Amino acid sequence: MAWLVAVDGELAGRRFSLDAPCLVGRGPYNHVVLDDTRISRQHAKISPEPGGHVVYDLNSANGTFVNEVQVKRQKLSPADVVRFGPFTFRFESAALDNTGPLKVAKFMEAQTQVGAEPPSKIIDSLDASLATNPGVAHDLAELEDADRKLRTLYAFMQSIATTLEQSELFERILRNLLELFPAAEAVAVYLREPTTGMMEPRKVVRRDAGPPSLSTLPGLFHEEVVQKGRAILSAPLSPGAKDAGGTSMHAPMIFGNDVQGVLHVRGGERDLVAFNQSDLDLLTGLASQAAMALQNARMHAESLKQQRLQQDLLLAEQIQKSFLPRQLPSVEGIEFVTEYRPAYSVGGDFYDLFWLDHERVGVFIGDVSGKGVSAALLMARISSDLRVAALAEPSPARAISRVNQAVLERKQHDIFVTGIYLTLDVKSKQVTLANAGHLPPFIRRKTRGELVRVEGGSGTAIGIFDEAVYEETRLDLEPGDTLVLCTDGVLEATDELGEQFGFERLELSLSSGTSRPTDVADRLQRDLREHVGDAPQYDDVTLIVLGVTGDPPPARMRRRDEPTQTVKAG
Amino acid sequence: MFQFERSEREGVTVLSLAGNLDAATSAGLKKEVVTLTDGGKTRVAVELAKLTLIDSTGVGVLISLFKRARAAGGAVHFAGLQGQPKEIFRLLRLDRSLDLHPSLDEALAKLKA
Repeated sequence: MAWLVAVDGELAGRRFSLDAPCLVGRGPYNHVVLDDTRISRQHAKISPEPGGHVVYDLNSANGTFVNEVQVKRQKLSPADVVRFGPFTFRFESAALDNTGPLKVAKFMEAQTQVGAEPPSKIIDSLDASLATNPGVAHDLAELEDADRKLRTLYAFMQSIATTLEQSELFERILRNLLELFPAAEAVAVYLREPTTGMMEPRKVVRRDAGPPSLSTLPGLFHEEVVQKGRAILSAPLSPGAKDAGGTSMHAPMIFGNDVQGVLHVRGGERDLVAFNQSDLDLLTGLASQAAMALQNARMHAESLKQQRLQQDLLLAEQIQKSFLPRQLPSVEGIEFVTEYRPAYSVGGDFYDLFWLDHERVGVFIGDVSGKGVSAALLMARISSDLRVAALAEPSPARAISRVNQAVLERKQHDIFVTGIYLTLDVKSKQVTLANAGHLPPFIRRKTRGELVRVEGGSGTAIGIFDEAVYEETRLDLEPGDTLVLCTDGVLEATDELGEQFGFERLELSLSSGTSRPTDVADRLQRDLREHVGDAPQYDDVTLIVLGVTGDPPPARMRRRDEPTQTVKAG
Repeated sequence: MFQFERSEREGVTVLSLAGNLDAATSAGLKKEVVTLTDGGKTRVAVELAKLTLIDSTGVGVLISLFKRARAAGGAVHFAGLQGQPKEIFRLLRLDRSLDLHPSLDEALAKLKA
């Protein structure tokens, strides 16, 4: 057993065990921390070696002195006075001592002779039992060792917890390891590759400026460290020397129940006992701190990714909103009501209402398959395609054919669009309508008080077939008649038990109450809300209700809504 | 819950689907569609008899198989469509343009011809 005993200042009387290599310096990770600007961060090291203890000056600014002689490397003898800057210590060794209490008492005597402080102070500062029981001295050394470890871990944690960036984190972990383990020649951090489950090196740092590579890890590494989550000290060059120490250490970085990575510390090739069990214990503690810091960094990275995704969505939402009509056409004798409720911030639904010429208004409702940003962007493209086609083609069926061709040219294979495009003659109140695989529209007839599902004018969804054929149908709207267009989000609105709103409830809602567009829209929304309750909205809901205002002239009771025209695409 | 199986019968690839094909379950099939068509397997029979539910994302995956295979000079035939998926196909008017058959054997006969 050997100690470094402080003889002055605040530390006076403190005993530091020298049974393992001991670092002295200003940095908080040192075994003996001397908080003074005249002390270098890493000032000196005292190592137990076969011939006895040796003190090394680690290129400190103000030097290391033994019996007031400045030294670079000096073997220590009992009662030598060792000084680092303003701090004076005495070296004590009991290596050859087995005479028990007497010998310890003798050391106490020696202290009083050499110490610069009054002897009484030194004696007072020591537990009285120490003088009669060397076992207690040993316990004290262990306590100090534990205390040192705690302080080291704390300092390590402070150093690495302030970064949330992974490569910076690894850099700091490894720099700390090099400082903490003076015998380490290279240190590395391995992480589990999520795709293969293998431990892959992420960062390697060598003490000298050599190439950052590590020799292949022994098979032992995987079994013990990765599977069992156990830290190991290995001595491949000399298995017999394992009890004394080893040439390298591996400690698992465990978070939850998973070994997420491994910290590896390797000594010099000729240094067979670079590390001992105490070093391994320390590395184990450091690795668990490192795992925690890594988890924090990952969570931070994940939340950054979420933020970026959120920004994408916001942008898509703005683009999408810019394509929805800001103002509905104002037409005498016609009332429009629209409702647009995307399930997420961006939806695949869209609608448009615009003047085609002095006499006709174009109305479009559509639903792009899929959701999220890509659906929203395609929707924006399609609404401009549709405007172009609508202005070029008076026939809704031909306009839809054009949009179909435009969508097919984009070669977005897994996307298709359902929609209804209609033109409304504001004077005659005649509607010409083409349906591309969309939910059929409904007409609420005031004159008959009935609800009609408009099955005519239907063709295949947009973006599937080159040779798709679209048809159109004509409907005459009379005062009090209301036309309802909606997307299948209405039908598929699901309650907490998984029951969909469905056709029956939709038709019941549309046929009750008055036929005024605002009433029809309000009622449908109320019924939807009541059905869905607290269940989350899964699909977009879009609704266009257009009604002819005024009383029906008694003479006009006749109507027709049969398909009148077939248009071939191409 | 959604599952699919792929098998080969006399030069025709058979995809058998079972369960609910929707936004939450379609990723695996989507990948398989790309693998198939990129790998030159473009004569495909899709068996839908055990498909219980489909949404627009699910339809999108089947449409992408159809479009990719056709673009590569192949063909896709569907068999055994019933229940809700049949309603959706009808609503989208896909029943008019896709090759639908009551049984897998009939779809295979067309594809081998």
